[in-house]
Amino acid sequence: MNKIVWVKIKNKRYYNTLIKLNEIGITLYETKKDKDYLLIKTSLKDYQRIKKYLVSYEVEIYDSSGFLKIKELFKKYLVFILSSILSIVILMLANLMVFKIDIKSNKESIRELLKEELKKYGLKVGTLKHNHKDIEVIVQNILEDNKDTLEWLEIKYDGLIMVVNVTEKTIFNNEDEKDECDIVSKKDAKILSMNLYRGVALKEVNDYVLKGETLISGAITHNEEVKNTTCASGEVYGEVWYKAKIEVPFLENYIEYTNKNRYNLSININDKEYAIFKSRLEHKKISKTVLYKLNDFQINFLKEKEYKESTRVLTQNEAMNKGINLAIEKVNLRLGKNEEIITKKVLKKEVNDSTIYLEIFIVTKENIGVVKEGIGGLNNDANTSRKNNE
Amino acid sequence: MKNLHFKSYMENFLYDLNNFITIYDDTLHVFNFNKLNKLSDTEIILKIGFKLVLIEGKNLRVSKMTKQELLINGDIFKVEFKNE
Repeated sequence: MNKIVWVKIKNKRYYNTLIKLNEIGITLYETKKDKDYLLIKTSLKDYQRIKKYLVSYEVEIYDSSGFLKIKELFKKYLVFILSSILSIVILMLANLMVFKIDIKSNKESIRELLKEELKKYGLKVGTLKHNHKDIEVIVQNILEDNKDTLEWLEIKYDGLIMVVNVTEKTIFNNEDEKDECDIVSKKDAKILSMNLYRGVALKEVNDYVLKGETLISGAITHNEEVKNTTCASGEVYGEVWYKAKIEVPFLENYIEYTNKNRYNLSININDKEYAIFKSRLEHKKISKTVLYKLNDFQINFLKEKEYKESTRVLTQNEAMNKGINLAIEKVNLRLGKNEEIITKKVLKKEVNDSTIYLEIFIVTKENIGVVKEGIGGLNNDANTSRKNNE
Repeated sequence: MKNLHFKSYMENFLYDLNNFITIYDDTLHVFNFNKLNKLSDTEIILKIGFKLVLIEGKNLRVSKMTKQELLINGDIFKVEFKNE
């Protein structure tokens, strides 16, 4: 098959060149004239003849088609193609490797221990990722080797980072039992429930206690004589009372979203974020989606929602509800696990021109017991308690 | 074995002339010329048999060319036959 090529001949004398081409019997399918060049469409065979006979002319293939074109492009972009292939191979290899090990533990000793253990099984930075089955076996082995220290272990890959989640084994120290301690009340309260693990309960459910009073004593007595001491342990839940004073203005600021949205991109480099495009919205709420993450480098897609700030006047009821909710929020912040608000009541309400003043009585259920080192006030507290109960 | 020369027979049948010149609006087709003596944007001189063909015009440009055929584009004013 005769391949067709566009040939560039550097010569300003267009017509003379054509005469010469005719003399050597070149077939031209198309010609184009440029300022310094003559472009001719001819066969590859004729191109070779031109090169052979017109040695004084600068002749080169300008464009070609088919396999010849591919071959020519490949030659031209050889470096680019090779570097692209090399980059892809490196990227694929990098994706199979571990670049960082993140051990989720607060204790330095646990982190060091796990580092050593992982190293022992060939899990270290710069090595290839292991498959799921291998990881499972390694986890089991590490747990087996450190059954006194580790309770639970999980190893997973998050991109190029190997994340190690670990739970340390909680060892109940017998030495604690030898310490002497009481459980005392940290607040004035009425006892609602009591779970006793160790020691002697000096109070009962429905007893009223003051702050600092002993609830569970670490002194074990028999016939009013202390036979042994221990560190009292238990949970005492009591009814605690709060009086919250709050002032709520009738004028309230609030934000209202317009339907204007803008989209942007940002990059994170070393914990600093840079927006690619300048934002034109004055007040905006930004929601972020991570598009790509590699170690400390991150590309994010940002959605900016415009809002405007407005003010409105609350009714008396709305202001009161807002005040109650604020007080509840404030009290809730102090509450822990198994603790809750039992009831609430507005004691006082004063309305001014621009504000409403509220006094709110809040009753909560809280763990009132706190460990106090040493044993003291056993008999007095116990006696007082018994007298009170009577 | 004797060659049948089908192609030559067909060509002889279709082109029963040794050479010819066809002129369209702005195109000139020359078949079977012997030599291209002169070529410029205003004048082309060809040798056909024992005669010279002088083509005059403006912006004359060779669009296709083989050893014996020529297709010229441009404004053609005159085609003249001369004895050598």
